[in-house]
Amino acid sequence: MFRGLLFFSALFITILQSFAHPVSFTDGKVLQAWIQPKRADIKLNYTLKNNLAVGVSATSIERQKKRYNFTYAQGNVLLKRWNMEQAQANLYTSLGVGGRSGDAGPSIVGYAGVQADYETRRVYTLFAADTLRSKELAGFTRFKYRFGLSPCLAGYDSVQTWLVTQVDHMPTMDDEWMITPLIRLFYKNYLFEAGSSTEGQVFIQGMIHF
Amino acid sequence: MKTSLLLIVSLIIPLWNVHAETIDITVNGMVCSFCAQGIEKKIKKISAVSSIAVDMDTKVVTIVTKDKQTIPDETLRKIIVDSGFAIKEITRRE
Repeated sequence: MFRGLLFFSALFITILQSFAHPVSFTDGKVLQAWIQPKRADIKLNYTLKNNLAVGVSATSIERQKKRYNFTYAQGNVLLKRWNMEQAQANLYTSLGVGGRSGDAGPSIVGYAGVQADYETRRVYTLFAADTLRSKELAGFTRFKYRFGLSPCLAGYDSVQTWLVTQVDHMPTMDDEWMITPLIRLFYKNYLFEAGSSTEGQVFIQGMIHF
Repeated sequence: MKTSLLLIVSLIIPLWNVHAETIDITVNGMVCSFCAQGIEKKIKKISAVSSIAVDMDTKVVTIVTKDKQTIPDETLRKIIVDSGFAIKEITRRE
């Protein structure tokens, strides 16, 4: 019972981490992909209403020279949004279920995550956690913290640049800690990020809202 | 004479409403281009809209309507809320 509670708590925490914006605007779609040396994710979601989105995700993870592939459907809920004059803050959660393939063989997989963020036009910070759990396999849990500053403000029709530092803590991965300075570019409904960790591991992310 | 005057007035009064209306919506929480893009996309679907501009500094979305057309506050409020934001103020000018 206690282990089950822990599992779902971890799953809840996980959902937070994975999306920059797990829920967008009613009828909005978000396609997001990010690549790290030992983990790649692609997500597509559709926002049903301003606090609920559904989507599909695929995640590929390498650990101890073994490859694990997960595909799952998920629901994202905006638990609370604070709309302020000069800022916005959000609290999200996600839950998902799907299947696993790869070196560990097939299995059912559960996914959960949480995300909290705060953003002005100058400052951006985010905490997120997510977990993937499947039978006969220790879970893949990731905690992520981000802090970013925008050196100059750009208009709606210009590219806004952010300098961000991301700290990942992944207790079950080969590299438990990873610190990645990255550059983030925003242009209307497009986002692109690229960086390299202090260990030299490249990070790339792309996102489009449509 | 009286009839002629009434006729002239009745012709002039409608002309006061032929101009386009400019609506300024101040939006709380609109801090990034993703936010603004969702609002812009929905407002562009309104048939009465002639043009739309977003000012990220002031958090104001400015809509210019087509001639003789207007957009009720309720319609604008629903769009902003569906986009996940809050309206601080709506002002109108010609």
